[in-house]
Amino acid sequence: MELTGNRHEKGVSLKIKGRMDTLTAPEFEKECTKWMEEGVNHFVLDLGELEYISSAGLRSILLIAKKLKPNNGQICFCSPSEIVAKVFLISGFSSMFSTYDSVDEAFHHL
Amino acid sequence: MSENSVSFEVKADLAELERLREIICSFGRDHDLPDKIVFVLNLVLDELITNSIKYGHLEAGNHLISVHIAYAPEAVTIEVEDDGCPFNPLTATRPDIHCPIEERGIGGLGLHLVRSLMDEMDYERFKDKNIVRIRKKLIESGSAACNR
Repeated sequence: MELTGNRHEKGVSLKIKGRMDTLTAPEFEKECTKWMEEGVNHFVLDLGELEYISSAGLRSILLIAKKLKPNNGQICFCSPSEIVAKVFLISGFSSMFSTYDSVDEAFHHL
Repeated sequence: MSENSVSFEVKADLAELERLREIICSFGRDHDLPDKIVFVLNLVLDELITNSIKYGHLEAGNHLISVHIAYAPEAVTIEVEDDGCPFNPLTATRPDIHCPIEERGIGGLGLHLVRSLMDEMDYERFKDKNIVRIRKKLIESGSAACNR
């Protein structure tokens, strides 16, 4: 998994490339925690190049979202593949997190 | 038709998930399976093996988990066998997926995904072993035209 974070006015966009599973999900949590310590409350996860996600990846996203909640922070997604979107739907993530077509559109709504 | 099936064993070690990915990818290539099916097969095996390791308390010994995957034009069938503590994935509590983030529990999603993504799932406790059999139909995803 490759993570690329970019600072925007309202938060951070985090591009997740590759596989988000039991082995790599802790890296995602570490990266988000690092930004949160710098005061970031809003994350747009750019999933255009996310090839795979398991429940371990979902759990990490949920954990970070729970930590953001008391500060009114949030996570949203952009450009998941059809199968990743299906995994979000089955696990109830599509009702907890908004999905947009692009990072710009996501920040526009934040 | 042995070329239509693959059997292997994985150690009760989460680092084995990388080898699992390679085996599933090559199985997908051999049978020309759509990417979505390869994703789903990888996901369900990932979740079942992770569960076996976690809930079967297999970390301690030199346990092996046996996996058998069989291809037929209409469906892929998978059998996962471990000698861990009895654990029936069919009776595991389903997560509440409709509550807000604050109340949402963080467990149970793996088996929920397996049950939702597979067409059939059976469990048997036989000779001190947990045997899980699952089946994924290929008919709906069989042609490129239906694969969108």
